[in-house]
Amino acid sequence: MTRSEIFAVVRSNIHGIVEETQNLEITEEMSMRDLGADSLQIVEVVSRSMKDLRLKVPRTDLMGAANLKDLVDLFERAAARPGPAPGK
Amino acid sequence: MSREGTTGRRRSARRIVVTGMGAVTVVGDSPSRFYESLLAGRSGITRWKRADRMSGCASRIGGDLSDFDLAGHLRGLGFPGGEDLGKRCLTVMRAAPRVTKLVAAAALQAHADANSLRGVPPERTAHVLAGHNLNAGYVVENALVFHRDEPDYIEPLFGLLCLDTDVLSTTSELLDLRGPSFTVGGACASGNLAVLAALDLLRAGRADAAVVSGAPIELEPVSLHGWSLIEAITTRSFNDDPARASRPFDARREGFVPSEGAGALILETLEGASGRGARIHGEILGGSATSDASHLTRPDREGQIRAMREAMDDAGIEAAEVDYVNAHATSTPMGDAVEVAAIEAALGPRARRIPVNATKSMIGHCLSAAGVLEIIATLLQTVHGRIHPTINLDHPDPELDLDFVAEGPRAASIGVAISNSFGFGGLNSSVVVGRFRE
Repeated sequence: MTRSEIFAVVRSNIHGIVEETQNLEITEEMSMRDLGADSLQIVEVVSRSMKDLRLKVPRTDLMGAANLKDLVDLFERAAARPGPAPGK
Repeated sequence: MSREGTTGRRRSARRIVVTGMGAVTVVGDSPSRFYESLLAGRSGITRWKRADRMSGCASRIGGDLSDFDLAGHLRGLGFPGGEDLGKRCLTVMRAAPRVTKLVAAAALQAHADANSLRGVPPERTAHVLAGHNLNAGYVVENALVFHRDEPDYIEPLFGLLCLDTDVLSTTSELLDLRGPSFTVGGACASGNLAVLAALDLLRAGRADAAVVSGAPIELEPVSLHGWSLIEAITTRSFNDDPARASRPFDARREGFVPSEGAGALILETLEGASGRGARIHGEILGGSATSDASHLTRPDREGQIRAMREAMDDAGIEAAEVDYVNAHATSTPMGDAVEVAAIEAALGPRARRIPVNATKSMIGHCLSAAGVLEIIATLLQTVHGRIHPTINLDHPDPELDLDFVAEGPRAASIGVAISNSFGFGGLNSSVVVGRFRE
């Protein structure tokens, strides 16, 4: 999975979950707070993206992500590791 | 109409009226469509639409709203409450379980019908939601993800959205309801019990208006199979002819037909409703709840008689004034028989002179929403003076001998009606509804 594929999934979830972002161009330098997401929407974007990508990142690691770049970095590293098997 | 009941208890000085109604059922997604289908004798019972999801379950048929589409519903009704509210609805409930959407849809209709409660302060508007264990299907599906796939892949907001109170609070948020808000759980009597709770709030002056939402229980295979094991629901004779399965008072009835549906009522003090020029659909004259001190499913005649008698007392009416009974009538062999005996005892000779019908013969048993939907059916029949039939009464049970309106819709002048709802665990309730008179 490429970095741009990972970012596309995150971006798509932001567009679907955070109001009034549908027409915004989202870049990796932005944070979800910048985009107007509340704490529950952040949880939802991250969780749905992990499920879509079939990744698992520990919650403690996620807390250190300051912007979307950090989040995509975490997902990229997790993608390089063996993830949860589908329908284990 | 007398102002005191048989025990001499004086009726509450504060009169409570209904100014709004909303309904999403398997036979119509608004009160007018619902009523039109009831008059036409149209059943909404089908085979379960998502058979894959029901695999292994003994239940094959019921009232299935699994294809309910909130956006389409709101568009179809011209966005009750306005397009902005409709759009907010879709945003707020994007990830919500189906029950939350069904309740909001019914409540939005009722609220718009009550002219959006214009003039009633939000802080003086209560919200009482009927039902419990509402999101069982959502819980089961997430449990499967947790156990079979990956715990972190359950719905991200499961911890919030699985709660019954989220169903309540989502609608409160949409309609800006800021008075007392809570859920009322009483199994299949929940709807009536919620109306009684709202009645008490309004009579006591704790609120000026109340939204009463009747929530469906999302039907899923585990609960359905559980009800089949205790032989509460139909599983045998009508799987190939589902529309015939719900047959209250018929000799071939074999169990209730589980169904989904949501209803909502707006209750207000007469003073408040008149002051703001609201259209009044009818009056909640009174009601009562009793219980049988039993955790089992067996209905109890005495408890049901007490509920009806106390409801009449609370309403300040005599049995001779009752013009119509909307029976609980779930189509179970014992339940229907016990209720008929209780109606005969509570109303005396009057029982044989008035119509008694079963809304469930067409919409099935909507469980915690049943009481609210059946009060709506009762109000509509009262307002329009036409009583809906009880369908599928092909071979009347010879032991049950009341006028069940088997032949088709009938014109009738209804001044006072009783609507019964009884629940597992010996929970009995009756609400007395009246045509509005100044």
